[in-house]
Formats: sequence, structure tokens, C-alpha cells
Amino acid sequence: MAETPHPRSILRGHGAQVHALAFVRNNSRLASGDAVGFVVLWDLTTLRPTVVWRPHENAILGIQGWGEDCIITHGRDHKLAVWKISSENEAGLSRALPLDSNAPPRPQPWLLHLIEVNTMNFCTFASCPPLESTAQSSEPELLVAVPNTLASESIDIFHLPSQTRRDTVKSPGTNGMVMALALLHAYDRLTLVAGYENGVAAVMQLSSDSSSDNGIWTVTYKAKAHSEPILSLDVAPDHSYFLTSAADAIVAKHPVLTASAAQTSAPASSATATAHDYPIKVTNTKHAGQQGLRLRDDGRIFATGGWDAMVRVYSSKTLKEVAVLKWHQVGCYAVAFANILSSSASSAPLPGASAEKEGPGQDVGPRTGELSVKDRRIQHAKTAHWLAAGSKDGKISLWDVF
Amino acid sequence: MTTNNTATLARNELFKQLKPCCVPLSQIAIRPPDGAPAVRNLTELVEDLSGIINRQVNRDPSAFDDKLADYVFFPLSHVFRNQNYYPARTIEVALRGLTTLIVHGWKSKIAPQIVEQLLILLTFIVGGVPGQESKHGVSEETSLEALRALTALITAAGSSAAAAASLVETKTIPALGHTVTVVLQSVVDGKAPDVQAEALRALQSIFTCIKDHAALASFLPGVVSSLTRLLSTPAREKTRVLVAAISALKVVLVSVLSDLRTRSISAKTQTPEQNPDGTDDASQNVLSPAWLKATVSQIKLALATVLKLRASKSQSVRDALGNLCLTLLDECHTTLENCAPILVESAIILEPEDGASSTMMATSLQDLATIYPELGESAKVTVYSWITSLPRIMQSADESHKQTAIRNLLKGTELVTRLQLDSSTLNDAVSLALRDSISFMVADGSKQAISPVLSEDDALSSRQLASPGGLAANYQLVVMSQEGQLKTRSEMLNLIAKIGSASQQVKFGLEMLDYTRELTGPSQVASYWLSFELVKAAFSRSSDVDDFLDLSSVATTSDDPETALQEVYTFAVSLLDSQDESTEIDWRLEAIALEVTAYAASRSGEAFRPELIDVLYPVTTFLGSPHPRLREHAITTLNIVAASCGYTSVSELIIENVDYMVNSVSLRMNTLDITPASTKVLTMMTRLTGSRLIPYLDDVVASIFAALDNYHGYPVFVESLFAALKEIVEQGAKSDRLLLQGRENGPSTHKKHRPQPVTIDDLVDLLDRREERRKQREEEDVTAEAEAKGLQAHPQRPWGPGKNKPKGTFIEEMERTEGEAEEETRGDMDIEKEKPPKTPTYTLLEKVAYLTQHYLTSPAPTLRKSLLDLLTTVSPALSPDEDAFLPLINAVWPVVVARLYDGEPFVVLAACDTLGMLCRTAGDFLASRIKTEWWDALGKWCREKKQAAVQAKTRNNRITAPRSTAGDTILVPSRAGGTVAMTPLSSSSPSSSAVGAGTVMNREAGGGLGKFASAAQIWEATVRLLVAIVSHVRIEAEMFDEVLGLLADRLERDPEVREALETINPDAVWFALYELGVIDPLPTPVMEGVEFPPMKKRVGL
Repeated sequence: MAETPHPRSILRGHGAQVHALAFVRNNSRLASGDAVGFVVLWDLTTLRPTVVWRPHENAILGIQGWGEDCIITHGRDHKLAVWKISSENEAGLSRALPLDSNAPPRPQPWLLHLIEVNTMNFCTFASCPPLESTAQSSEPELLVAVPNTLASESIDIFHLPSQTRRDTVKSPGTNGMVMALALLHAYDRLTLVAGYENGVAAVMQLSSDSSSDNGIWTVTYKAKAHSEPILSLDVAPDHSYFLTSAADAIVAKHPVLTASAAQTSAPASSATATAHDYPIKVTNTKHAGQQGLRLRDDGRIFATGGWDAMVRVYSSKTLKEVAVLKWHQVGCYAVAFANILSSSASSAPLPGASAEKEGPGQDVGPRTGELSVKDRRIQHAKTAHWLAAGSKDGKISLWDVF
Repeated sequence: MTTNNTATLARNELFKQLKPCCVPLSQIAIRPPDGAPAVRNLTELVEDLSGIINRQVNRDPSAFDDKLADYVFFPLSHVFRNQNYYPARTIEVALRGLTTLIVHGWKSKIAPQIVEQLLILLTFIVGGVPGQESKHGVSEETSLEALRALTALITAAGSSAAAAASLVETKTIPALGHTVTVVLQSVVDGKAPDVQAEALRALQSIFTCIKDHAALASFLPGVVSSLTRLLSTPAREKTRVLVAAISALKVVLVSVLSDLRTRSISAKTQTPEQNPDGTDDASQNVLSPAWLKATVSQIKLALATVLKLRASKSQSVRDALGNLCLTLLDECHTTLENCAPILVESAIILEPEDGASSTMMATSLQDLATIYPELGESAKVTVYSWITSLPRIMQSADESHKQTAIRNLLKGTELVTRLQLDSSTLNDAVSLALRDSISFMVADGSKQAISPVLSEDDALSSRQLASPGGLAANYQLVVMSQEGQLKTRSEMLNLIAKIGSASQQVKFGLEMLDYTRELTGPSQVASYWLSFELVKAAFSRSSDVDDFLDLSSVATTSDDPETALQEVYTFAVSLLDSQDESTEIDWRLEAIALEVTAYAASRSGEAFRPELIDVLYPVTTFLGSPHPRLREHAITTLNIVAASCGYTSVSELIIENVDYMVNSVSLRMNTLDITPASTKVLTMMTRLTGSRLIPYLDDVVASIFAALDNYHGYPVFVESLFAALKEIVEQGAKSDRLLLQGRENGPSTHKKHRPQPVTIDDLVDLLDRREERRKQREEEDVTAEAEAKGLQAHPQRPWGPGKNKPKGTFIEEMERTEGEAEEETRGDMDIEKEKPPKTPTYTLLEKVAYLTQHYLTSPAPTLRKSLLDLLTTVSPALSPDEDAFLPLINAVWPVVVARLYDGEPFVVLAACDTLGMLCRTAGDFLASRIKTEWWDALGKWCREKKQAAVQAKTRNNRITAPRSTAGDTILVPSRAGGTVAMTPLSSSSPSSSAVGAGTVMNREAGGGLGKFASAAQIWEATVRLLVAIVSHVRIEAEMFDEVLGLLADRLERDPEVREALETINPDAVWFALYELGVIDPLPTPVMEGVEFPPMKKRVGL
């Protein structure tokens, strides 16, 4: 881009800092959570709120979509809630923005689950679907990792919908509070990636005999790339590495190693000095305080929100800065990428359900031509390479980049 | 048999009628006439005869036959022989009779001899006898009748083979030739149109009835040249004649040169050596290929002249001409091959406009072209040349010429389409020609001065936008908008609408759009306009078809008008969006873009709503365009868009989508892409939406601040920015609820109250209370003694009422203090609980108010004034939160006070009001500031202003009030002067009263500017300020005295002033009034033993 990029749009309406952002429901909605506990679902076609409610009494730490119509919110009021909001019942909910101080009370959407969790630190939850379904019901299942209720350096793993605690993973050493988490299945094992207050990033894997409820967690990787607390981390879509950002100016790229590789060199969790204790790459960006690090789902770029009000986009391969997005006047706390891979796949059958009946190849051209102005907009909203950044001033800037 | 019998009977009957007429007639006619009675008699007889024949013919023409005709002709022939002796009338009647004889009597059985005779006779009647000068001119009627008879004769002769043959016999040929000559003469020089028409008919009958090719061929040159001569001067001739001449020409040419006739000659052309001598007979001599060649080339010339008539205004002439063209193309296809192009061209031009009448015609050009492919080619060439010449024609000044050209082109292209002769070359040429043509028109249009002037603010006033009814939904024309061009425009639109198929139109439209992207200037405008019109046309076309057929599966992407519209619309959006970046864009281009937007909106309906994200703001910005036409366009566009998207009015459209507009404004302002128009739009948005919008505007305001930082050197621009800010402030100030949420901590009003006067009751109360207290104390003492202990707790609260509180009863006082104490403790708890944060609106207004201090010194007086007004508006809104408000006052005070000494009177006025408002809202907080200012400059300034006002009035009143002179006006006292309070009062009072009188007189006289003079106005404002100070701010006594001195003369007639001053010190006011001499002396009190000096009424000099 030769010229300075400009945001496509600014979403105004939060009265307080925007702490969490997530594209949900096939990129058709952007969920944003602010420091006083409001969550707003924005329609990306009209760029207007469709649902506004206040799931928590205190700051929102994290938001994630779950399936088509569930939204998980994590607030500082020690609660993690799962809400069911489908596009049909959006209409019955309030759309008065938090800034409308004299709006009538906003109804709450349907609450599916509520787990009491620890939110002493600012660590948001992490989740992934379990590898094998344990419950007999057809309900979708989810594993959620949050810091432990008592010892905030340990991590609890809960299971939904049963709302039971599955595991508690202890910190490898004294690293201070857990600051950032990721939960995933790497090499068919449940893997937990955690960033700690002292700048340590660690990968822990559940031992292969996962049949037992209390499997053994093995530390497969542990490195201290940062001198300050880690603020955010995100795992690459192919689960081969993860990136961390911290209160210092460093962005580090760490490997996600196989448990076997780690085990061979250092059995048990006592391992401290192995060949795998070094990050793949460390870059000093010279801009301290970058948080909300997010990788795009194609794994090519990632972005961070800076306390210096800049949103920086980096190449995930080289960790080099490729763009600086400047609009906000004050620090940015949250960044989110729209899913560009799933969206392009999911939008294909959008024009008509009868796509299989007719030859798909020759049919695509005229169909796009026939799309009405509105359809085209919706499609654009879903397929655009959105980057959303939430800032301290309560505004969310939407960028269409890369 | 019976029929035969009846016929015979009828004949006999007729004969019986005729006989008594014919016998005397022949008797008279056979002799040369002698004397008038005989002639009259003869005339009567001829009339009778003619009448009988006519009646019979009308009743039963079959009763008449050639025998009877012969019988009747006999006397008539005598009449004709001696025609010179008879009056013209007689001859006419005889001729009429003769015509009837020919038509109904002889009919086809006419004898060749009679034909020859009559031919010569009639020729002589019309043209005179050759060789001898006609003694008298033939009358019109006579020639008419003669020609009519001639027509009848030749028609009759034509139907009889023998007669026809005899006509072209060698010996009669000269006579026939003479006849033709005479007829032609009548055609050309005919005295009346009737004669000419009849002559033409005669001519036509000659060519129809005479079958001899050679003879006709020999007449041809003369006939054609005469007819051409006639037709070349169409202005002189009647339409009827022209039509007749054209059809005659058609008959003439067809009868001589039709393919059937010339086939033999053509055959000879192909084998010229077969008969080298070529002298077989006379006809062969004439009808040689060489002759044909020469003739044809001459005919071409003649046709070229004749076909100029295609521009004729008369429909019948054009129809006739069209008929001629088609007939010639059909009948003389081979022979007149060289004329084909011109004929085809004319035929296309002359083709009837609507398809209905073309089916009536036997053959249309289309049919001909189907039969003869080369005609189609020729049509194509013609159309092509038209297309290429269209731009050139468009450059000409003649509008009707242009219209014709466009119309012709339309017909041509339609024909070509119908013949399915379209070619890519032709299509390309069409699109190019259209573009170039319109470019010329556009370029032409841009030269004209822009006349209408619409005030800029009109367009932006929300009033206009808010009105839901009577919306203008039609655009003023952008392209070809001149009065004279309107018809051309409609023709052009017609052409565009009908050119090609819908898919072709789409294709052209897209092509044009490509040009639009590449080109600049008028051609860009033209091509964009064209592409828009083409797409519109395609839509209107396809909508007809789509009602019946679902072609969506067949249609390919490229020719879908929807796609094309999308492209056109996308371009429009990009144009509108970039409006601020380059001012170079032709306004018409933007106007078209607006139209496109409106069209797209009207097509999409409510589905267009999301598009407003991109479109609404740019369109609205055009309301502030410097170009009046663009403003009108923008209004219309907004109306259409609002209606299409289902909003009841434009204001609703804006209010509902204000978030989009804020977004656009913010994004633009963030890049410092600010135009005066955008600030205007912001102002309008704010006004329409009201305070609800303010919380969302913080970053916009921040951008405005940044812009102010960057552009503070441009007063006008800064002013426009502040206009937006002011609107924000005004709206924000209106929303009390949004503004303050639990932060009210200042007193509700700073108004001073007069202390309650002490009455006897109060005294009684006081004494009672004292007594009570004494008793109480005694009781206490008693109890204390009784309890023998002095362990009374110390009082919980201070004794007595607070200093500033109005006095009430003691108990009330106690209760109140208790209540206050509770309040206080509650207030303390509030503070501990931490005050709720300022609302966004409050913060915003506060920021704006703080900002004003830096711009109050701006060189632009209007800005200074508007900033002062802004402060006036904002202070009441902000004042309830004193903790935030008082620092603000502190910040702005010095600059605001300095504005009092501004050079511009209206700024001074505003400053007075602003200061007054600050006094009202800040109250005693300003006491020390006012005091300092008063002794530094303000007091002096007030006196100066008063003096100025007085002087202005005295100047006005010099004649009416001569006694007040400048000499005895106010003496300016100094503070050092001992009798500060009294000196100005006493010294100024005389003049003050004079001023009062002068004012009254001045008002009565009604001369000059009076109270509207700037000095007077400033003084009024000063008075307002002083009143505000006195009633809301604590001031020291010396200053009060000065104020009183200044205002003394107003005490009497201005209750507001008096009340304000009396609140503080009623006695001083009374004394001032007494000094003025307006207080009636109180009655001298009478008391025994004491003598009071009587109070004198003081006369105010």
C-alpha cells in the first residue's frame, strides 16, 4: 500500500475501553466487549449494532463465538457465560448502544451456561473442542481453560456443557500469574500454551494415556523471551508455532513441539534445560506494550494493538512489520481478524442452495451478476479481510487490509 | 333483356330531353354569332344541355352512350369552333359538358378522329393557337376545364387501343407534343394551384395512357425538367401542387424508365454489337443504351433536386416523396441504379415515424431491401455516413438540423437492425459518434453562464430538508439544458432509447463507462451521461420483456443491465467520494453521478439502505457545493433516495443514518480532509439529530480541534469550524439530562435578594425570644443547681443562624441547620463515594468552551462574536457543576473581558451579553475580578459608552433639543477624587435628564437611527451588563455608587434596572431619584415641639 491506509469504518458506541473483539457467526457479526461489561454485536453489513447487552458487571476479558449461535463471554466479575443468540432472536434484544445513557434496560439473551471462574488477573479464557466426545448427547462440547480459582499461576480446564472441571495444570516453576492462554490439540494431544507474568511462555501437553481423567501434563517447551509480563499469545492455525507479545517491545515466535520430542530429551515435568527452550525467532519491535496479538487464520500475518495507539501488522514468517494502522488517539487493547479461509468456503453456496444441481462452473458468473446490491454488500462484508481494532476510547476501527 | 330494354328506354328518354336543347343550340352555334342576345341564348342552351347531361349522369350514367355523345357533341363542336366569339363562361360550360361526354359518353369507344380533334382543340384552348398571339389571356376557369377535359380525353383514349395508337401516330405526334408542352406550361406557370394540379393530372394521364415508349421517352426530358423546376422552388407552390407534381413525376419516371420498359434496352446494352447499325426504326433510335445512360444521369440530377423536398415540413409532401422513392427503387431498380443511394437515403428519412402506417404501405423499404440486398448495403452505407457526420452536425448552430439528423439516424439504425445488417463497425461508429456528438453539446453547454443563484444556506437549512411534502423529485437538466436544445435532447434520448437491443445498449453503456474512466473534460461528461442513459434505456427495454419471459438463465453476465448499472453506480460512488480531493472535476459529471445514485436507489428500494454508508455523506456534502445547480441536484437526490429507501423525509433519512454520516465525517476529518461544505453538513446533522448525537462526536470534535490547530491562519475556515462546534454546543446545552448526572454541586441561582426589612413583629419576636432564652437559662440554671452538677454538654452546633441566611424563627432556624448538617454529611459521603464521571456531552462542551479562549483574539470579528455567543450558550449548561465550571470561567475571563474593548460594535454587544451571562452563572466567584476590572478600565469604559450614546443622540437632536450641548455632559471623575459617589451623580444628572428628554423627543421625532445607532445599542448592552453584575455579583459600595450614577437616569423608566439596584441598596436608589427630582416631597411630619424643615422637591435642572 503506497498511501497511508484508512479505516473503512469506525464503530462508535462503547462508553468505555474496548477489551475484547471477535468475529462470530461466519464473519457476519463482530462482537466487542468493553471495560464496564457491555457486549455489542455489530452487523458488518450495515455496520450497526444488532444486539447490545451487559453480560458482566465488570470488564469483559474475552469473547469467542461457539458454533453458529453461541457466544462465550468472560468477565472480570468471575464469571464465564455462554449465551445463545441466533440471528432470529436478535430482533427481540436491545440495540441501544452503551453510550445511550438513557436507554431502557437491555434484556439479556438466553444464558446457556455460567461457570464461576477466577478473574483476578487479566487472563482471558482459551477453548477448543475435545478430541473425542465423552458425553453421549449430541450437544457440542468444548474445553475451556482459565486460570485456577485459587492459585492464579495454575490453570483449570473446564468441560462444557457439563460445566465440570477436568483438570488443573500446575505452572512449570514459579512464573507468576498466568497472563495468556491457548488450548489446542497438537499431535493428537491436548496442548496448553500459557504465557506468564515473568515473561515465560510454556507449552504443556497431556500425556498420551488420556483415557484416565487425570492424565499427566508434560512441559514440552518453556522459554523466557520477554522481560516483562506476556500480554497475549496466539497459536498458528497449523499448530506449528505460537507467537507471544508482552509489555516489552519483543515479539517472539515459539515452537509447539511434539510431546515425544520433548519427552525423549527430558522426561517428566522437571525438564528445564533442553534444546527446545529457545524461541524460533525473537524480534525487538522497539514499541513497548503490544497486546491482543492475533494471527489470521491463513497464518500469514498477525496484528497487535499497541499502547501507543498503533495497530501493527506483521508477517508471521519474518516477524517484520508490514503495516502500521493509525487511527485511534489512545492505546489499542484488542485486535481481531475475520476468518478469511472459512468465509470464502462458506459463502460459496450462499447465492442458491441448488448449486450442486446445476454445473457449478458455468453458474458462478451470472449468479454474481444477479446479486442485488444488498446481497453483494452482505457477501462483501463476509469475505472482506477485516481487521478490527478496539481502543481505549471505546471505538472500534474496521480495516480492510491484506 | 329487360335491362337492355330499360337501357333503351332511358336512352330514348334522355334523347327526348336532349333534343329540344341540341336543336336550337346547333342552329345558333352553326352560324357565327350575331349580337349579344344570341350569345346569351346560346349560353343558356349550353348550360341546359350540360345540366341535362349531368343530371342524367348522376342518376344513371349507363343511359348515356357514344351515339348520344356524338349527338350532343355536334352542337358543342360548333361552339368550340367559334369559341373566340363567345364569352369564357360559355366555353367553360361547354367544356364541362364535353368532359362529361368523354367520361360517360364515349368512354373507351371514343373515335380516334375525335380524339385527335379534341386534343388539338383543347390544346389550343389552353395554350392558344400556335403561331398566333392569343388576343386574350385564357381565364383560369377555362384552362381548368380544358385541362380537365384533356385529362378525361386522354384517359378515355388510353382505354381504347385504337385511340391510343392514333395519338402516337407520326402525324399526331407533333400535336401530342404540343399538348404536352402546353400542359407543362400550365404546370409551371399555372395561374392557380387548381390549374397546376389539373395540368399535372393531365400530364399524369398522358404518361399513364400512352403506351408508346419512344414517344414518352422523347417527352421525358422536358417533362422532368419542368417538374424539377417546379419542385425546386417549393416555397412558391402549394402543398397540393407539390404532392401532385411528385406523384406525376413518379408516374412519368415509372412509365418511361421502369425496369420492365428498359429491359430491352438493357439487353441491348449487354450485346451492343448484335445490331450495329441500330437504325431499325425510330423508336430504336431514341431508346438506345446511350440514351438510357444519358437520361439516367440527368434523372439523377433531377432527383437530387427534387429529393431536397424531404426536409419539407408538410407531411403529405414527404409521404408523396417517400412513395416516389420507394416506387422508383422498386420499379426502376436496375435502371436508376445510380440513384439508389440517394433514394435509399431519402426513403429512410421519409419513412413514417410509427410502425403502424408502414404496414399500410404496399412495400416498405425493408421489403425492398430484403428483395434487393444491394439496397440494404446502400442503406448501411448511408447510415454509416450519417453516423460519422453526426458529430459534425452537432457542432452546427442549427438545432432543427441536429434534430433531423438524429431522427434520421434513428430511423436508419432501426432499419439496419430490422434488416439484421448490424456490424461491429457500425456499432463502434455509433457509440463513438454518440459520444463525440454529446461531447460537443456538452462543451457547448459549458460555455453558457450559470445564471441561477441560490443562496448557499438555503440548501443547507434544515427547514427545507425537513419538509416532507412537495419534494422536488425531478432533476434540472445537466446535459443539453439550454432552452433551444431541449428538443434536440429529447430526440437524442429517443435515439439512445431505441438504438440497438437492450444487450447492445448495455454493451455500449459499458464501453462508454470505459471511455469515462479514460477521458477528461466534456467528453468524459458526455460518455458518462451516455452510459447512464443507455443503461436506463436498457432497463426500460428489458423490463418490458422480462414481464413475460424469464431470460435470466439465458442472459450472460456482460449484457445484464443490472451489472452495467452496478458498474455505473460504482463509478458514481467513486466520483462522489473523491469530490473533496480534486476540484477539477466537471460539476456536470458529479451531477450525473448524483442522478445515477438516485436511479440506483430507486431501483433497489429499501435494499439500498446499506449503500448509504458510502453514499449519504458525499451526497449531503453537495448541499454545500459552491455550484448552485449541484446543490439543487443534491437536494433532489436526497429526496429520491429518501423516498426510495422508505423514509418519509430527508431529515428522517439523515437522522436514521446519522451514524454513517458521523463515520464519514470523522474519517475525512481524521485525515484533515475538511471542506467548508463538510463542516456545514456536520452542523446540519447536529441540528437535525439533536443532543442524542453529541456523545458520538468526540473524535470529530478532536479532529476539528486538530484542524483548528493546523488552519488557524484562515479565519473564514476557522469560523466554519466553530460554526459546527457552536451547533454541537447548542444541541448539547439543550440536553440537561445527558449533561449532568449527579454532579450538580453549585447553587441553583446567584440572584441577589433584598434583605427582609425589619418590622415591628420581628422586633417583638426578637424580644420574645430573648425573654424565652432568659427563662430557659434560668430554668437550666435551676435544673443544674437542682442536679448539683454542671455537666451540661457543650452545644452541638453554633448559635444563631448563619450569616447569609435569611432570618426565620429560631426553631425554624434550628431545624434548618439540622437538615443542612445532614445534607452536609450526606454530601461528604458523596464525595467519598467519588463523583460520577462527567458525561461525554459535558466533557465535550467543556473542551469546546476551553478552546474558545485561544480564538477570541482572532482577527475575524464575526468569529469573535460567534465565540462569545457560544460561551453565552454554554455557560448555563455547564454551570451546575461548579467544580468544573469555575476553572473554565477563570480561563476564559481575561479574553472575554478584553472583548469589551473590541473595535467592532457587534462584538462589544456580544461581549456584554456574554459577561452578563457569566455573572449570572458564576455569581460571586467573579466579585474580585469584576472589582479589579471596574477600577482598571470597565468603569471608565462604561462612562465613555454612556457619553457616546448621549452624544449620538444629541447629534441627532441638535435641532429638536438645542439646549443640550456637548459642554455640560458627564464629567469624568477619578477615583482619587474625594466625593466619588456624589460627584458623578450630581454632575451628570442634568445631562442625563436632558438625555432622557432627548430620547423621548428623538423617539417622537423618529429621525436618525435612534436606538438602533451603534452607540445607543452598546449603551443598552452596557446597561444589561451592569444590571447583571449588580444582581448576581457581590460588589463593593463604591462601585455600586458608580453604577448607580451611570444608571440613575434609567431608574425611572426601567423597572428592571431599578429593581436590581434597589435589591442592593434601596436608599441609595431613592436618593438618586430624589436628586433627579422625580420624588415628590414627603409631607413634612408634624410633631409637637419640633419643627421639621419642609422637604423641597428638587428640580432636576
